[in-house]
Amino acid sequence: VGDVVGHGLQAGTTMSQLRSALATAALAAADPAAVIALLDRYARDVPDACCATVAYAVIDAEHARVEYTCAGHPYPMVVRPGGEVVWLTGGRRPPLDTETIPGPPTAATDEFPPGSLLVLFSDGLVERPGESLEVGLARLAAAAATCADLPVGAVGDALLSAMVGAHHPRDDVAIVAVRPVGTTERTLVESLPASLEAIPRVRGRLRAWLRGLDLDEQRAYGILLAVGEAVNNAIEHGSGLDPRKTVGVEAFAGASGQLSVTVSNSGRWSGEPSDLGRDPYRGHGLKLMRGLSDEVKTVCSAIGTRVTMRFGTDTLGQ
Amino acid sequence: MREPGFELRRLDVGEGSAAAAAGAGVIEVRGEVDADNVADAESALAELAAEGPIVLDLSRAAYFDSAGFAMVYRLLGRAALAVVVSPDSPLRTAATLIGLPLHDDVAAAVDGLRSPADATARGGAGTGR
Repeated sequence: VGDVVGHGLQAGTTMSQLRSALATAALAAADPAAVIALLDRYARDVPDACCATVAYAVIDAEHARVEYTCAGHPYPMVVRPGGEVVWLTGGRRPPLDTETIPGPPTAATDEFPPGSLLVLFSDGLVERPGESLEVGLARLAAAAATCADLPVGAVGDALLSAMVGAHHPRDDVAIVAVRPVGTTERTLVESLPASLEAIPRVRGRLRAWLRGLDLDEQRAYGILLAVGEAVNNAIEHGSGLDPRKTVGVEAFAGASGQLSVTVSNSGRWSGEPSDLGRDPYRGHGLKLMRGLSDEVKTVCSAIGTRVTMRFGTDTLGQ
Repeated sequence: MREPGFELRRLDVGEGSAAAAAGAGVIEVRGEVDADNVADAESALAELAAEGPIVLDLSRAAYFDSAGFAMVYRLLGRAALAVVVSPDSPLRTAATLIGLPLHDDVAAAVDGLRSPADATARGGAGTGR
Protein backbone atom coordinates (compact mmCIF):
# COMPACT_ATOMS: atom_id res chain seq x y z
CA VAL A 1 0.00 0.00 0.00
CA GLY A 2 1.39 3.38 -0.98
CA ASP A 3 0.53 7.03 -0.72
CA VAL A 4 1.78 9.95 -2.80
CA VAL A 5 1.73 13.60 -1.81
CA GLY A 6 -1.12 15.70 -3.21
CA HIS A 7 -4.42 14.96 -4.88
CA GLY A 8 -6.00 14.90 -8.32
CA LEU A 9 -4.70 13.96 -11.71
CA GLN A 10 -1.01 14.66 -11.06
CA ALA A 11 -0.96 12.57 -7.91
CA GLY A 12 -2.85 9.81 -9.70
CA THR A 13 -0.34 9.82 -12.54
CA THR A 14 2.58 9.66 -10.13
CA MET A 15 0.95 6.81 -8.21
CA SER A 16 0.34 4.94 -11.43
CA GLN A 17 4.03 5.18 -12.39
CA LEU A 18 5.16 4.09 -8.94
CA ARG A 19 2.76 1.15 -8.94
CA SER A 20 4.05 -0.13 -12.26
CA ALA A 21 7.65 0.28 -11.13
CA LEU A 22 6.93 -1.53 -7.87
CA ALA A 23 5.26 -4.40 -9.70
CA THR A 24 8.36 -4.78 -11.88
CA ALA A 25 10.79 -4.41 -8.98
CA ALA A 26 8.86 -7.10 -7.09
CA LEU A 27 9.67 -9.52 -9.92
CA ALA A 28 13.33 -8.53 -9.93
CA ALA A 29 14.16 -8.96 -6.25
CA ALA A 30 13.00 -11.17 -3.39
CA ASP A 31 14.10 -9.10 -0.42
CA PRO A 32 11.49 -6.40 0.34
CA ALA A 33 14.20 -3.89 1.22
CA ALA A 34 15.88 -4.46 -2.15
CA VAL A 35 12.53 -4.03 -3.94
CA ILE A 36 11.89 -0.70 -2.24
CA ALA A 37 15.50 0.40 -2.86
CA LEU A 38 14.91 -0.19 -6.59
CA LEU A 39 11.63 1.71 -6.43
CA ASP A 40 13.39 4.56 -4.65
CA ARG A 41 16.02 4.83 -7.38
CA TYR A 42 13.26 4.96 -10.00
CA ALA A 43 11.24 7.51 -7.99
CA ARG A 44 14.11 9.99 -8.16
CA ASP A 45 13.29 10.52 -11.85
CA VAL A 46 9.52 10.72 -11.42
CA PRO A 47 7.98 14.19 -11.05
CA ASP A 48 6.22 14.71 -7.71
CA ALA A 49 7.34 11.35 -6.31
CA CYS A 50 9.16 13.07 -3.46
CA CYS A 51 8.00 11.91 -0.04
CA ALA A 52 5.71 9.16 -1.32
CA THR A 53 5.36 6.46 1.32
CA VAL A 54 4.91 2.72 0.92
CA ALA A 55 4.43 -0.36 3.08
CA TYR A 56 5.50 -3.49 1.23
CA ALA A 57 5.04 -6.99 2.59
CA VAL A 58 5.78 -10.43 1.18
CA ILE A 59 3.92 -13.37 2.65
CA ASP A 60 5.90 -16.58 3.00
CA ALA A 61 3.11 -19.11 3.34
CA GLU A 62 5.46 -22.07 3.63
CA HIS A 63 7.18 -20.67 6.71
CA ALA A 64 4.10 -18.88 8.08
CA ARG A 65 5.74 -15.48 8.21
CA VAL A 66 5.62 -12.04 6.66
CA GLU A 67 8.67 -10.12 5.49
CA TYR A 68 8.18 -6.38 5.13
CA THR A 69 9.61 -2.91 4.87
CA CYS A 70 8.06 0.51 5.36
CA ALA A 71 9.21 3.67 3.62
CA GLY A 72 7.76 6.36 5.90
CA HIS A 73 4.38 4.60 5.85
CA PRO A 74 2.14 3.77 8.86
CA TYR A 75 2.93 0.39 10.39
CA PRO A 76 1.20 -2.67 8.97
CA MET A 77 -0.58 -4.68 11.63
CA VAL A 78 -1.17 -8.33 12.36
CA VAL A 79 -4.19 -9.47 14.34
CA ARG A 80 -3.10 -12.71 15.96
CA PRO A 81 -5.50 -15.63 16.50
CA GLY A 82 -7.63 -14.55 19.46
CA GLY A 83 -7.48 -10.85 18.67
CA GLU A 84 -4.11 -9.58 19.96
CA VAL A 85 -2.95 -6.74 17.70
CA VAL A 86 0.74 -6.45 16.84
CA TRP A 87 2.20 -3.48 14.95
CA LEU A 88 4.94 -4.35 12.48
CA THR A 89 7.35 -1.60 13.53
CA GLY A 90 10.55 -2.98 11.99
CA GLY A 91 11.97 -2.51 8.50
CA ARG A 92 11.73 1.30 8.63
CA ARG A 93 13.32 3.55 6.05
CA PRO A 94 12.61 7.12 4.93
CA PRO A 95 9.95 7.93 2.29
CA LEU A 96 10.85 7.64 -1.42
CA ASP A 97 12.99 10.22 -3.18
CA THR A 98 14.12 11.95 0.02
CA GLU A 99 17.57 10.61 0.97
CA THR A 100 20.66 11.81 -0.77
CA ILE A 101 22.60 8.75 0.40
CA PRO A 102 20.36 5.75 1.05
CA GLY A 103 21.26 3.72 4.15
CA PRO A 104 21.72 -0.03 4.05
CA PRO A 105 18.54 -1.89 3.10
CA THR A 106 16.46 -3.07 6.01
CA ALA A 107 13.61 -5.56 6.06
CA ALA A 108 11.98 -7.18 9.04
CA THR A 109 10.07 -10.41 9.51
CA ASP A 110 7.28 -11.43 11.83
CA GLU A 111 5.15 -14.51 12.35
CA PHE A 112 2.05 -14.90 10.21
CA PRO A 113 0.53 -18.24 11.15
CA PRO A 114 -2.91 -19.55 10.11
CA GLY A 115 -5.65 -17.78 12.06
CA SER A 116 -3.90 -14.37 11.75
CA LEU A 117 -4.97 -11.34 9.79
CA LEU A 118 -2.60 -8.87 8.10
CA VAL A 119 -3.84 -5.32 7.52
CA LEU A 120 -2.09 -2.62 5.48
CA PHE A 121 -3.67 0.80 5.20
CA SER A 122 -3.10 4.42 4.24
CA ASP A 123 -3.03 7.15 6.88
CA GLY A 124 -6.40 8.50 5.73
CA LEU A 125 -7.87 5.71 7.81
CA VAL A 126 -6.43 6.96 11.12
CA GLU A 127 -6.08 10.71 10.69
CA ARG A 128 -8.67 13.02 12.16
CA PRO A 129 -8.33 16.81 12.32
CA GLY A 130 -6.91 18.01 15.65
CA GLU A 131 -6.05 14.53 16.86
CA SER A 132 -2.62 12.98 17.33
CA LEU A 133 -1.64 10.00 15.21
CA GLU A 134 -1.16 7.88 18.37
CA VAL A 135 -4.81 8.29 19.28
CA GLY A 136 -5.85 7.26 15.80
CA LEU A 137 -3.59 4.21 15.82
CA ALA A 138 -4.92 3.13 19.22
CA ARG A 139 -8.47 3.42 17.91
CA LEU A 140 -7.52 1.35 14.87
CA ALA A 141 -5.93 -1.35 17.06
CA ALA A 142 -9.12 -1.59 19.11
CA ALA A 143 -11.22 -1.84 15.95
CA ALA A 144 -8.91 -4.44 14.40
CA ALA A 145 -9.09 -6.64 17.51
CA THR A 146 -12.79 -7.13 16.82
CA CYS A 147 -12.00 -8.37 13.28
CA ALA A 148 -10.24 -11.57 14.40
CA ASP A 149 -13.29 -13.69 13.51
CA LEU A 150 -14.44 -11.76 10.44
CA PRO A 151 -14.14 -13.05 6.89
CA VAL A 152 -11.37 -11.15 5.20
CA GLY A 153 -13.76 -9.49 2.73
CA ALA A 154 -15.67 -7.88 5.60
CA VAL A 155 -12.60 -6.43 7.33
CA GLY A 156 -12.34 -3.31 5.15
CA ASP A 157 -15.95 -2.28 5.78
CA ALA A 158 -15.68 -3.02 9.51
CA LEU A 159 -12.54 -0.89 9.91
CA LEU A 160 -13.89 1.89 7.76
CA SER A 161 -17.12 2.19 9.72
CA ALA A 162 -15.28 2.02 13.08
CA MET A 163 -12.62 4.52 12.05
CA VAL A 164 -14.32 6.93 9.71
CA GLY A 165 -17.99 6.41 10.46
CA ALA A 166 -19.85 9.64 9.95
CA HIS A 167 -16.63 11.69 9.72
CA HIS A 168 -15.85 12.43 6.12
CA PRO A 169 -12.19 11.43 5.73
CA ARG A 170 -9.82 14.22 4.76
CA ASP A 171 -7.73 11.90 2.67
CA ASP A 172 -8.14 8.82 0.50
CA VAL A 173 -8.42 5.58 2.41
CA ALA A 174 -6.88 2.31 1.21
CA ILE A 175 -7.12 -0.94 3.17
CA VAL A 176 -5.68 -4.33 2.27
CA ALA A 177 -6.57 -7.31 4.47
CA VAL A 178 -5.04 -10.76 4.02
CA ARG A 179 -5.59 -14.09 5.76
CA PRO A 180 -3.25 -17.04 5.24
CA VAL A 181 -4.65 -20.37 4.10
CA GLY A 182 -4.52 -22.98 6.83
CA THR A 183 -6.29 -24.22 9.92
CA THR A 184 -6.18 -23.74 13.66
CA GLU A 185 -8.40 -25.43 16.19
CA ARG A 186 -10.95 -22.61 15.81
CA THR A 187 -10.41 -21.30 12.26
CA LEU A 188 -10.19 -22.72 8.77
CA VAL A 189 -9.17 -20.76 5.67
CA GLU A 190 -9.08 -22.38 2.25
CA SER A 191 -8.67 -21.07 -1.26
CA LEU A 192 -9.52 -23.16 -4.31
CA PRO A 193 -9.63 -22.69 -8.07
CA ALA A 194 -13.18 -22.32 -9.40
CA SER A 195 -13.22 -25.86 -10.76
CA LEU A 196 -15.45 -28.75 -9.74
CA GLU A 197 -12.40 -31.01 -9.43
CA ALA A 198 -11.15 -28.93 -6.52
CA ILE A 199 -14.25 -29.54 -4.40
CA PRO A 200 -13.43 -32.97 -2.87
CA ARG A 201 -10.06 -31.81 -1.50
CA VAL A 202 -11.55 -28.79 0.27
CA ARG A 203 -14.42 -30.90 1.57
CA GLY A 204 -11.89 -33.35 3.03
CA ARG A 205 -10.15 -30.54 4.90
CA LEU A 206 -13.41 -29.08 6.18
CA ARG A 207 -14.53 -32.52 7.33
CA ALA A 208 -11.28 -33.07 9.24
CA TRP A 209 -11.56 -29.63 10.87
CA LEU A 210 -15.20 -30.20 11.86
CA ARG A 211 -14.20 -33.53 13.39
CA GLY A 212 -11.85 -31.63 15.70
CA LEU A 213 -14.78 -29.55 16.98
CA ASP A 214 -16.45 -32.66 18.34
CA LEU A 215 -19.90 -31.82 16.97
CA ASP A 216 -22.92 -34.08 16.81
CA GLU A 217 -22.59 -36.21 13.64
CA GLN A 218 -25.81 -34.93 12.05
CA ARG A 219 -24.84 -31.31 12.70
CA ALA A 220 -21.36 -31.79 11.31
CA TYR A 221 -22.76 -33.38 8.15
CA GLY A 222 -25.28 -30.56 7.78
CA ILE A 223 -22.50 -27.96 7.97
CA LEU A 224 -20.36 -29.92 5.50
CA LEU A 225 -23.25 -30.12 3.04
CA ALA A 226 -24.39 -26.50 3.41
CA VAL A 227 -20.83 -25.26 2.83
CA GLY A 228 -20.45 -27.66 -0.09
CA GLU A 229 -23.57 -26.19 -1.71
CA ALA A 230 -22.25 -22.65 -1.23
CA VAL A 231 -18.93 -23.68 -2.78
CA ASN A 232 -20.77 -25.29 -5.74
CA ASN A 233 -22.65 -22.02 -6.31
CA ALA A 234 -19.52 -19.88 -6.00
CA ILE A 235 -17.76 -22.05 -8.58
CA GLU A 236 -20.62 -22.45 -11.05
CA HIS A 237 -22.54 -19.19 -10.76
CA GLY A 238 -20.10 -16.80 -9.09
CA SER A 239 -17.09 -17.77 -11.18
CA GLY A 240 -18.59 -19.32 -14.31
CA LEU A 241 -16.42 -22.45 -13.85
CA ASP A 242 -13.32 -20.41 -14.71
CA PRO A 243 -10.39 -22.15 -12.94
CA ARG A 244 -8.28 -18.97 -13.07
CA LYS A 245 -10.70 -17.48 -10.55
CA THR A 246 -10.55 -18.46 -6.90
CA VAL A 247 -13.15 -19.27 -4.29
CA GLY A 248 -12.44 -18.66 -0.60
CA VAL A 249 -13.76 -20.58 2.39
CA GLU A 250 -13.35 -19.12 5.89
CA ALA A 251 -14.78 -20.82 8.97
CA PHE A 252 -14.74 -19.51 12.53
CA ALA A 253 -15.80 -21.41 15.61
CA GLY A 254 -16.70 -18.83 18.23
CA ALA A 255 -16.55 -19.38 21.97
CA SER A 256 -20.27 -18.60 22.21
CA GLY A 257 -21.12 -21.84 20.39
CA GLN A 258 -21.66 -20.03 17.10
CA LEU A 259 -19.96 -21.33 14.03
CA SER A 260 -19.86 -19.13 10.95
CA VAL A 261 -18.65 -20.05 7.48
CA THR A 262 -18.14 -17.60 4.63
CA VAL A 263 -17.75 -18.63 1.00
CA SER A 264 -16.55 -15.87 -1.28
CA ASN A 265 -15.83 -15.38 -4.96
CA SER A 266 -14.73 -12.47 -7.10
CA GLY A 267 -17.75 -12.51 -9.44
CA ARG A 268 -21.15 -11.06 -8.69
CA TRP A 269 -24.36 -13.01 -8.40
CA SER A 270 -27.43 -12.46 -6.28
CA GLY A 271 -27.55 -15.69 -4.31
CA GLU A 272 -31.17 -16.09 -5.42
CA PRO A 273 -32.70 -19.00 -7.34
CA SER A 274 -33.50 -16.63 -10.23
CA ASP A 275 -29.75 -16.31 -10.77
CA LEU A 276 -29.16 -20.03 -11.05
CA GLY A 277 -29.95 -20.75 -14.69
CA ARG A 278 -32.60 -23.05 -16.03
CA ASP A 279 -31.92 -26.39 -14.38
CA PRO A 280 -35.17 -27.10 -12.48
CA TYR A 281 -33.26 -28.60 -9.53
CA ARG A 282 -30.62 -25.93 -8.98
CA GLY A 283 -32.68 -24.16 -6.34
CA HIS A 284 -32.14 -27.21 -4.15
CA GLY A 285 -28.66 -26.09 -3.17
CA LEU A 286 -30.02 -22.84 -1.71
CA LYS A 287 -32.83 -24.75 -0.03
CA LEU A 288 -30.26 -26.95 1.69
CA MET A 289 -28.11 -23.97 2.73
CA ARG A 290 -31.12 -22.27 4.30
CA GLY A 291 -32.53 -25.41 5.86
CA LEU A 292 -29.27 -26.66 7.36
CA SER A 293 -28.05 -23.32 8.78
CA ASP A 294 -29.62 -20.80 11.14
CA GLU A 295 -28.94 -17.87 8.82
CA VAL A 296 -27.70 -17.26 5.28
CA LYS A 297 -26.53 -13.79 4.38
CA THR A 298 -25.32 -12.75 0.93
CA VAL A 299 -23.28 -9.58 0.41
CA CYS A 300 -22.44 -8.34 -3.09
CA SER A 301 -19.79 -5.66 -3.39
CA ALA A 302 -17.21 -4.32 -5.80
CA ILE A 303 -14.80 -7.07 -4.76
CA GLY A 304 -17.26 -9.91 -5.32
CA THR A 305 -19.91 -11.93 -3.56
CA ARG A 306 -19.69 -13.53 -0.15
CA VAL A 307 -22.21 -15.83 1.45
CA THR A 308 -22.05 -16.25 5.23
CA MET A 309 -23.89 -19.04 7.01
CA ARG A 310 -24.27 -19.27 10.78
CA PHE A 311 -24.76 -22.46 12.71
CA GLY A 312 -25.63 -22.71 16.39
CA THR A 313 -24.10 -25.70 18.17
CA ASP A 314 -24.65 -27.24 21.55
CA THR A 315 -21.08 -28.23 22.16
CA LEU A 316 -18.74 -25.56 20.83
CA GLY A 317 -18.97 -23.15 23.72
CA GLN A 318 -18.22 -25.74 26.36
CA MET B 1 -4.35 -37.10 -4.58
CA ARG B 2 -8.07 -37.12 -5.21
CA GLU B 3 -10.54 -38.01 -2.50
CA PRO B 4 -12.14 -41.38 -3.13
CA GLY B 5 -15.31 -41.04 -5.16
CA PHE B 6 -18.39 -43.20 -4.88
CA GLU B 7 -19.06 -46.92 -5.01
CA LEU B 8 -22.29 -48.67 -6.08
CA ARG B 9 -22.81 -51.97 -4.27
CA ARG B 10 -25.39 -54.47 -5.42
CA LEU B 11 -26.80 -55.98 -2.24
CA ASP B 12 -27.89 -59.59 -1.98
CA VAL B 13 -31.69 -59.37 -1.75
CA GLY B 14 -32.11 -62.96 -0.54
CA GLU B 15 -34.25 -65.66 -2.07
CA GLY B 16 -37.93 -65.31 -1.37
CA SER B 17 -37.57 -61.70 -0.23
CA ALA B 18 -40.01 -59.04 -1.34
CA ALA B 19 -37.32 -57.45 -3.49
CA ALA B 20 -36.62 -60.76 -5.22
CA ALA B 21 -40.33 -61.32 -5.76
CA ALA B 22 -40.60 -57.86 -7.32
CA GLY B 23 -37.57 -58.56 -9.51
CA ALA B 24 -35.83 -55.53 -8.04
CA GLY B 25 -32.11 -55.01 -7.51
CA VAL B 26 -30.95 -53.20 -4.39
CA ILE B 27 -28.09 -50.76 -4.95
CA GLU B 28 -26.30 -49.15 -2.04
CA VAL B 29 -24.35 -45.92 -2.61
CA ARG B 30 -21.12 -45.57 -0.62
CA GLY B 31 -18.62 -42.74 -0.68
CA GLU B 32 -19.22 -39.26 -2.03
CA VAL B 33 -21.41 -38.02 -4.87
CA ASP B 34 -21.11 -34.33 -5.75
CA ALA B 35 -21.16 -31.94 -8.71
CA ASP B 36 -17.71 -33.20 -9.70
CA ASN B 37 -18.55 -36.89 -10.19
CA VAL B 38 -22.35 -36.90 -10.50
CA ALA B 39 -22.22 -37.56 -14.26
CA ASP B 40 -20.33 -40.82 -13.63
CA ALA B 41 -22.84 -41.85 -10.99
CA GLU B 42 -25.75 -41.04 -13.26
CA SER B 43 -24.53 -43.12 -16.20
CA ALA B 44 -23.69 -46.08 -13.94
CA LEU B 45 -27.10 -45.96 -12.28
CA ALA B 46 -28.95 -45.48 -15.56
CA GLU B 47 -27.28 -48.65 -16.83
CA LEU B 48 -28.39 -50.58 -13.74
CA ALA B 49 -31.90 -49.17 -13.98
CA ALA B 50 -32.14 -50.34 -17.58
CA GLU B 51 -31.84 -53.96 -16.36
CA GLY B 52 -34.91 -53.72 -14.15
CA PRO B 53 -36.46 -51.89 -11.21
CA ILE B 54 -34.02 -50.79 -8.52
CA VAL B 55 -34.09 -49.75 -4.92
CA LEU B 56 -31.43 -47.09 -4.34
CA ASP B 57 -30.19 -46.96 -0.75
CA LEU B 58 -28.44 -43.66 0.02
CA SER B 59 -28.37 -44.13 3.80
CA ARG B 60 -24.66 -44.87 4.07
CA ALA B 61 -23.27 -42.43 1.51
CA ALA B 62 -20.57 -40.25 3.08
CA TYR B 63 -21.65 -37.20 1.09
CA PHE B 64 -24.53 -36.56 -1.29
CA ASP B 65 -25.23 -33.02 -2.43
CA SER B 66 -27.91 -31.23 -4.47
CA ALA B 67 -26.25 -32.34 -7.71
CA GLY B 68 -26.74 -35.94 -6.53
CA PHE B 69 -30.35 -35.30 -5.55
CA ALA B 70 -31.01 -33.70 -8.96
CA MET B 71 -29.65 -36.87 -10.55
CA VAL B 72 -32.02 -39.01 -8.45
CA TYR B 73 -34.95 -36.85 -9.59
CA ARG B 74 -33.93 -37.31 -13.22
CA LEU B 75 -33.72 -41.10 -12.75
CA LEU B 76 -37.08 -41.14 -10.97
CA GLY B 77 -38.58 -39.51 -14.03
CA ARG B 78 -37.49 -42.24 -16.42
CA ALA B 79 -36.89 -45.49 -14.51
CA ALA B 80 -38.57 -47.76 -11.98
CA LEU B 81 -36.75 -46.54 -8.91
CA ALA B 82 -37.41 -46.21 -5.21
CA VAL B 83 -35.10 -44.42 -2.78
CA VAL B 84 -34.14 -45.42 0.76
CA VAL B 85 -32.73 -42.94 3.29
CA SER B 86 -32.97 -44.46 6.76
CA PRO B 87 -34.20 -42.24 9.62
CA ASP B 88 -30.77 -42.36 11.33
CA SER B 89 -28.80 -41.50 8.18
CA PRO B 90 -26.90 -38.17 8.18
CA LEU B 91 -28.50 -37.56 4.76
CA ARG B 92 -32.04 -37.76 6.12
CA THR B 93 -32.43 -34.06 6.98
CA ALA B 94 -31.18 -32.94 3.57
CA ALA B 95 -33.32 -35.43 1.65
CA THR B 96 -36.37 -34.35 3.63
CA LEU B 97 -35.64 -30.63 3.12
CA ILE B 98 -35.57 -31.18 -0.62
CA GLY B 99 -38.75 -33.26 -0.52
CA LEU B 100 -37.26 -36.32 -2.17
CA PRO B 101 -39.76 -39.19 -2.16
CA LEU B 102 -38.02 -41.62 0.17
CA HIS B 103 -38.51 -44.76 2.25
CA ASP B 104 -37.21 -45.77 5.64
CA ASP B 105 -35.93 -49.17 4.56
CA VAL B 106 -35.67 -51.56 1.61
CA ALA B 107 -38.92 -53.40 2.35
CA ALA B 108 -40.89 -50.14 2.29
CA ALA B 109 -39.11 -49.14 -0.92
CA VAL B 110 -40.10 -52.41 -2.60
CA ASP B 111 -43.70 -51.62 -1.69
CA GLY B 112 -43.11 -48.19 -3.16
CA LEU B 113 -41.95 -49.74 -6.43
CA ARG B 114 -45.29 -51.53 -6.66
CA SER B 115 -47.28 -48.37 -6.04
CA PRO B 116 -45.19 -45.33 -6.97
CA ALA B 117 -47.98 -42.85 -6.28
CA ASP B 118 -47.94 -43.91 -2.66
CA ALA B 119 -44.22 -43.29 -2.32
CA THR B 120 -44.50 -39.78 -3.61
CA ALA B 121 -47.19 -39.03 -1.09
CA ARG B 122 -45.04 -40.38 1.74
CA GLY B 123 -41.97 -38.49 0.59
CA GLY B 124 -43.66 -35.14 0.92
CA ALA B 125 -44.06 -32.20 -1.37
CA GLY B 126 -41.05 -32.66 -3.61
CA THR B 127 -41.85 -33.82 -7.07
CA GLY B 128 -45.43 -32.91 -7.83
CA ARG B 129 -45.12 -29.14 -7.76
